[in-house]
Amino acid sequence: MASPRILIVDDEQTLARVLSFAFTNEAYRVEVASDGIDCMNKISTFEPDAVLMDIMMPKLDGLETIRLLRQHRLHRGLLIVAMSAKALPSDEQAALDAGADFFVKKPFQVAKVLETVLQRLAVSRGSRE
Amino acid sequence: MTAVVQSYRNFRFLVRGVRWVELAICAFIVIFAREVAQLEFDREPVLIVFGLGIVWNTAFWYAGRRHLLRERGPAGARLLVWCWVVADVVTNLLVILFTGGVASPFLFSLALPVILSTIALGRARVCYGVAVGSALGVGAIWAMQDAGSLPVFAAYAPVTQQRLTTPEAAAAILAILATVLSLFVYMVFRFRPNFFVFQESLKDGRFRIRNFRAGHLRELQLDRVESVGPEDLLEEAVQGLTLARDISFGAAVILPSGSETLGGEAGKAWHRGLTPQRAVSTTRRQVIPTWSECDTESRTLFEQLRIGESDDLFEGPFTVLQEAGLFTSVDSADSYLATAIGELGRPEVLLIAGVSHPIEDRSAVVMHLFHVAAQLRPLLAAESRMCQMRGELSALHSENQSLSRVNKLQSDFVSIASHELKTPLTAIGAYTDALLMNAENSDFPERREFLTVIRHENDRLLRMINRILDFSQIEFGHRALNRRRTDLRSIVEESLLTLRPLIEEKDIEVRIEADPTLSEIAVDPDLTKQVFLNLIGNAAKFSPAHTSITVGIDEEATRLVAWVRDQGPGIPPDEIEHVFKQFYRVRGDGREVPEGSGLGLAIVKNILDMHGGSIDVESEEGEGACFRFVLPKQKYTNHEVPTVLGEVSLRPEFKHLMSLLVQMLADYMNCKIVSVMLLTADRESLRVQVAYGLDEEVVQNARVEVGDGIAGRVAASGRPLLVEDLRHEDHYEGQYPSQYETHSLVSVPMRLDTEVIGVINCNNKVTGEPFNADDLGLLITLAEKVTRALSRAMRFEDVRDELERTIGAIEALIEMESAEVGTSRLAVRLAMDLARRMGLTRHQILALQYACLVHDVGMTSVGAEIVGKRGPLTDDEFDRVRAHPNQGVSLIEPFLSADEVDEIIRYHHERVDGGGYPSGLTGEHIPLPARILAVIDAYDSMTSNRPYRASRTPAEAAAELVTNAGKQFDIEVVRAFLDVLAENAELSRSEYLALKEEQPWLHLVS
Repeated sequence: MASPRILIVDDEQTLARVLSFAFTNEAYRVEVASDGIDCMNKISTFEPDAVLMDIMMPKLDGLETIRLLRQHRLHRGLLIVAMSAKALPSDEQAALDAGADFFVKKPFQVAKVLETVLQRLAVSRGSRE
Repeated sequence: MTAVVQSYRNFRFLVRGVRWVELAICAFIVIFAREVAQLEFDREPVLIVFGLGIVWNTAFWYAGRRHLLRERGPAGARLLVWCWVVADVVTNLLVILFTGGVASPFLFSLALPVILSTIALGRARVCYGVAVGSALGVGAIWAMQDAGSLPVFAAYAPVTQQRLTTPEAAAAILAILATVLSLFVYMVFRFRPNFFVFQESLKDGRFRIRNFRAGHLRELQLDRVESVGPEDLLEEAVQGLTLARDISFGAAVILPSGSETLGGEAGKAWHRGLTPQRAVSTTRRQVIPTWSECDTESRTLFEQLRIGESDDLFEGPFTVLQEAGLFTSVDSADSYLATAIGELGRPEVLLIAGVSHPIEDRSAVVMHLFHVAAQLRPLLAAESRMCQMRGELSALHSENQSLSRVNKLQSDFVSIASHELKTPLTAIGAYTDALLMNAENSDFPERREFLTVIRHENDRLLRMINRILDFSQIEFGHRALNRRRTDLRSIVEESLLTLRPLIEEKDIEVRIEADPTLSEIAVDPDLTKQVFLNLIGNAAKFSPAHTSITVGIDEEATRLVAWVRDQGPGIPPDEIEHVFKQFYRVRGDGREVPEGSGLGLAIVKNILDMHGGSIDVESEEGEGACFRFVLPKQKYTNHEVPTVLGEVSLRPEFKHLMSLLVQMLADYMNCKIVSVMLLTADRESLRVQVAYGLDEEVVQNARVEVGDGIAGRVAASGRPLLVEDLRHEDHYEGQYPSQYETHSLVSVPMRLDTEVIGVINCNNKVTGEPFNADDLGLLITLAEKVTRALSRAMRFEDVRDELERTIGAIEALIEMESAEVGTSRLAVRLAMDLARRMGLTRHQILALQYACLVHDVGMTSVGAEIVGKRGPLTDDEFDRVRAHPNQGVSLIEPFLSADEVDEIIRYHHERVDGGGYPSGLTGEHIPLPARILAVIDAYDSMTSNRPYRASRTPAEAAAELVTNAGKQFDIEVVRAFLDVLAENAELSRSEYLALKEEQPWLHLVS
């Protein structure tokens, strides 16, 4: 099984760095995008299995990006985990409505994020096979 | 008299306005009622009385309505109602007389609702209704009386108890109907008073709304987005006016307000005429010029209308109006009838009806005109109340909006602040997780990097929290403004000091373009510094390395304008409007965003708002940005007397004063260097405000922290200090500037009330000797006077006058010192020794010392030609000399307090035998210090060279004193003075003994 690919989209470089470190440690292939537009550019070449998407970003925010991704047929099965420090129930609902599979509140525990992504990927792979 | 005129007016109106038709109807109803009851006319007198009563009542209904509607005041209305009641009583008494005393109770019961309703409402229609009801009732009772069914109240009994004969039943039913009807009419009008008002215009729904009574009107109007204004009402009134048959032209005119000189507001007119075919033309609007612009003719007309009672009817040919410029020839009528609406003698609106001859029914036109006016009146009043309510409503609305804005601001603030706080927290958490996961891993090259990130994020979090606290303090009004006189330039310099690391790191050049004569401004210095810190900090943060930032301050008449310009990337046009919003951070395109809270500019804006200032920004992308803000100057009010003189003493008008001051101090202290140091605004350091005998450069840089150095210690402790030799001082570090020739100095605190505000230092005694205790004492006295004079001069109000007085006093003092009319140093020392010997208190001794120095300041006003005159003085000249003690006191008044010094100076030319001047006091009545000064002054002048007298030896002078003891001088003082002279070696032992030999009384006393 090829190592899973994950795209981390966050304008906070420090956070992207530590997440990428953590996923690399778990033998993922990681790419980092700094905002929604960057994400759209990288997604077709990188073809990730999962996207970790920050919501509050400049230019194109997370919600819009998720909507755009979901409009595309290729990305309908993509695992999208939304992350945000704005963590009211309404914010979570908005992310899920936009098409995210899962919502992670910031600040988060890295281990939990890893676990969640791992589990979700396993489930979706299982269902695909 | 007024009442008579009023009655006449009412009567005139009655004759003109009463509807005879209606009276006829009433009479008819009476007769009809009787006919119905099938009875005969056999009591003529009763009928006549009734008829008269009805006429009387109806007349008063009209008059009463008018009075009540015009709001003549409660008194007028009450009078009318009473007249009416009396009339009713008289009528009823007559009826009782003729009918044998049976009808009146019921009649009263019918009249009651009429009275009540009219009192309550004053509505014409009520009167009509009740009149009809009353008439019916009266007829019925009359019928019953004739039928012989007495008493009247028994008429109701048959309805329930026994069968009636036909006439009886008919009469009873009529009576009941009449009562019910009048009650019904009363009820309707009580609760729907305006229901039938403007009935003619009840064409569209809109109008109906307006015709409910005031309470309803309000509710309904409030719901409407735009309500009718008084102008709409007038337009409707004009329409209503032209409905009458004979009126071919209607107009409503808002009279121009004001007078010839006052200007006032322009008037307005709405008018519409009817075409010959009676087709209604549209209502036109016309503006009448303001009072001062009106021509004489219209003014005359308006004046005439103004003077008249507002109830009056004005009549005249229509051409008068046209000539006055009110209406054009398009609208024509033969004559006009007009009435005014408004307060008594101050009409505001004029209703004009144009009529064309021949008129069918003139009284109908008059009635209609008054009718419309009467209906318009309460509506206009309601409308003005409405206007008021709309004002209140909109005030409430805006208050509400601002409240909800604050509310939104707070909730936004919480949500965004929490997000901004969570971001660094998330990073810290995540990096800690990563470190923990690899805690056992010895080969973990990223450890250092990760720990650094955590440290960095932690700092960022802290900065963010501080910013948010700052912001919330300002934004939510917890921080009060603490205005002080502030030099913006120094604020800028302080800010640059704080920002130096950032500026130096990026090698940014900062230029300050500020007028050096910039005046101080009353602002909160801490908050203003925050403004500069944030603006310059932002500029430095966004600027590329090796660029420059310009900070400028310009002074305008009422404000200071400051700007901060950078050569950074600028702000994209679509972001400019957001930059002052909290948490907004300029992103620009594709460039790295410098770290920040997004609160800096929001804080700046808030601070400037608090100061009543403003800020804007100009920027072109790629060309840098320029933030420009305005701080309004604020005048100091009298109660803000600063306790920190340093803040004001730099003002140009005080510079002259200050420089004179140090010169005077140097003269009197007989030293070469004097410096006045004042506490800075923060009360943490002393700055040399002005100095005598020091280089400008030294003055500029001299700044001492409170508690440091000699001046600093004096300021901190508040105790004067005499240093005889610096080299023996503990703190002496051998760093004293070279211009201090001697190693002795005195330093004295300046106190305002009990607070230390500065320090006066003296160095380099002219004689080269060290300072002694007497010098210290003198400086203490001088410091006290100087501080008091300064603080008085700086009390802002009438600052010029006070300043001139103070400067004048200092100049006089300096002149006196330089002219050497004052007491010599030696004599001062002798005076102090003498005072000690005489047992004066320390306070008195200091006062005497000061007085010795300044007592002859009045002589400067006497003039050199008199002082220097050889030979006898004329009477006039002598008078001027005699006045000099008092003049001296008034001249240096700013440097005196109402204390002993004043007295000493005033009385030092008195003689113990009463022959002195200016007051002629004797013996013990002359204050002792003044007696001492008299002796010293005489001795000093005798021993020194004066133009008018060669100097004498001390022995000769002493002999003279002894000769005059008990006449001019106090014996005790002279005796003690001889001892002092001997002690100071002015007199040799032999001379001293010889004097004592000469005067036996000296032995006796001693």
